Amino acid sequence: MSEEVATPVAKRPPSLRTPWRWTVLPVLVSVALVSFLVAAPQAQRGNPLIGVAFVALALGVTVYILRSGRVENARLLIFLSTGLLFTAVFEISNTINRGSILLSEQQLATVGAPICPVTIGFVLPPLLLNGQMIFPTTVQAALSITVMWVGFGLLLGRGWCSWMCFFGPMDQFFSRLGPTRRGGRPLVEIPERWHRQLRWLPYGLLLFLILVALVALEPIFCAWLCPLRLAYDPPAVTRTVEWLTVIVIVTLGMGLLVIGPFLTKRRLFCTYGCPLLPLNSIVGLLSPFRVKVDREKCKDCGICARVCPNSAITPATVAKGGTAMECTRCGTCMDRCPQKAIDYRLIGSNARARGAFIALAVAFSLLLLSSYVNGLEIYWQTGTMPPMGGA
Amino acid sequence: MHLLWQGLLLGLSTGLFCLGACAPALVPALLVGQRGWRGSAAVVAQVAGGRLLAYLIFGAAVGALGTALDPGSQALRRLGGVAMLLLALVLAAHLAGLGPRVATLPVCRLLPARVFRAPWAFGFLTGLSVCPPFLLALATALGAGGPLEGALFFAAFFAGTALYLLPLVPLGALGRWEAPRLVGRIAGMLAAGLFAVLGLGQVLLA
Ligand code: SF4
Ligand code: SF4
Ligand code: SF4
Repeated sequence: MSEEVATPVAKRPPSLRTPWRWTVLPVLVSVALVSFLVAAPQAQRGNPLIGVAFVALALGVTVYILRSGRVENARLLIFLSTGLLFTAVFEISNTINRGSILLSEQQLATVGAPICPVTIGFVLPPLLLNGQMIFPTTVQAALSITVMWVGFGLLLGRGWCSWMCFFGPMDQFFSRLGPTRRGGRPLVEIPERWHRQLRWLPYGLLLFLILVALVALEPIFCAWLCPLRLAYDPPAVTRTVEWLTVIVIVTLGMGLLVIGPFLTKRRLFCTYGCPLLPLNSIVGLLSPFRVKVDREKCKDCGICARVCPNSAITPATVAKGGTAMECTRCGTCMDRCPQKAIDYRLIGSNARARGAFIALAVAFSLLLLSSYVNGLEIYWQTGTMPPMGGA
Repeated sequence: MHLLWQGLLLGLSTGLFCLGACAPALVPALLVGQRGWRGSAAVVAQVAGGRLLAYLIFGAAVGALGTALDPGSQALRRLGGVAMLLLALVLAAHLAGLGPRVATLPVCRLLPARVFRAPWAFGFLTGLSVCPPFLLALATALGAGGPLEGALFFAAFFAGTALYLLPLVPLGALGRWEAPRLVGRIAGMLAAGLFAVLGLGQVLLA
């Protein structure tokens, strides 16, 4: 009598790969968006070949992310390139148009400063309430950057902070570079009970900055506190007060953008210091996309909380099947979750939204990136570059 | 007009602190007794009236003192600086948990219960309490230019702060939730730091 031996069925490892039939539409959307936008009249000053290259890139990146089921590598490539190329364009433009990358009092009075989205939260209230523009730039520049940011915020939520923002790549880079100890832990860990309190820092900072902007009509964050000035518009130092500013900026910059992220593997500025974060998070509530945890698949291993560079997913949020509203939709937790329990979903439903989110995020981030490449190409050809952000 | 606008803005922008400073006393005071919506509105109106009266008297006095001191004088600027330093200290002490006793020292917390039965008196006394926004208003009103101007400035300041207090009274304080409490605390700490720097600068460099 022969006994039948049941052959064990090889269990396929869980995967977030999108089948081909669900890949085609997002790829078409992302390619069509990039083609349409790089062909728009405002974008046509550059070399048409750059447009073609970006359309091909949109195709390649969207297919890669959806078919491989991995977001992180391709996103990092786009995001870090955005930071690098934006910085190059910014510094070249300032050198050409105002003679230096440093920002002096005199330049402020004559040519102004380029406005950045980080200022929106405290520049808009005095502008809207009593018509006072407290940042040395034009109202038009402030409004156009606001409209751009609101558009992306409504669509992708805090996805702006992991796919498009030109300042975010700095702490992203150093947090990524930071070494790990055994068990994948960073050299310095931020205890969760600290994070629960620190999480509200940007909200308090924004409230404070709005109050000061309304009462004193001063953008004191830009003048005194912004760590980003380590790289963008560092102050020209001639007086004692400017030395003090430099000390504050260098200390905060090294702490929040370089050394801190390196040690903690957390994007410290983008988690605890950016005044745009609260607005990003709040506007993001209207975005159709969410990052959700499938509780049936989740084994509560805690890996997602350990790897999230924004501390936006914690055992507490996992237990509720989601993330904190500060989630930047970066995809790191999804890639690392052994159960593949985390994914992009549509708001208010459990419908998978990976294809739609990736198509839009890739298209718009590549579009921004193409504008910097165009700027550099124009500079290469003509030796000129238009001033940045209304300066 | 500028003075009114300034007072209103100051009130609007510091009104959340008012909430933190006086609401813990104000809300229970308003909740005692079973009143309907109309009764509750009447009590709120009385409290607000008492508060406005205190502000007008104090504003006029401070405005007059400012004239006597000659607006723009070194002494006045120094006095403003001292008020700011005081504000920074009170605010920091309050937020560090040395708390309610310092920030709302004279009246808000230490009021005898019977005062709660006369809402206008309660309003008047809360109006005189040395809470952080009040100190900031005081620093500004010193340079208002006269008793009338001082009173007007404080009236506008009242309107600004009342906007926050009134709708929140029936709701209970925002401070019941941890998140707004923390946000307020952080913003307050930063404000204390700023006022300390500004006040010190004004005292030393005036
Ligand atoms: S948190 Fe601020 S600096 Fe960081 S990516 Fe977002 S908007 Fe940019
Ligand atoms: S990594 Fe995946 S399985 Fe582990 S806790 Fe997070 S969601 Fe659950
Ligand atoms: S929760 Fe996941 S997607 Fe959101 S920021 Fe953290 S790692 Fe990125």
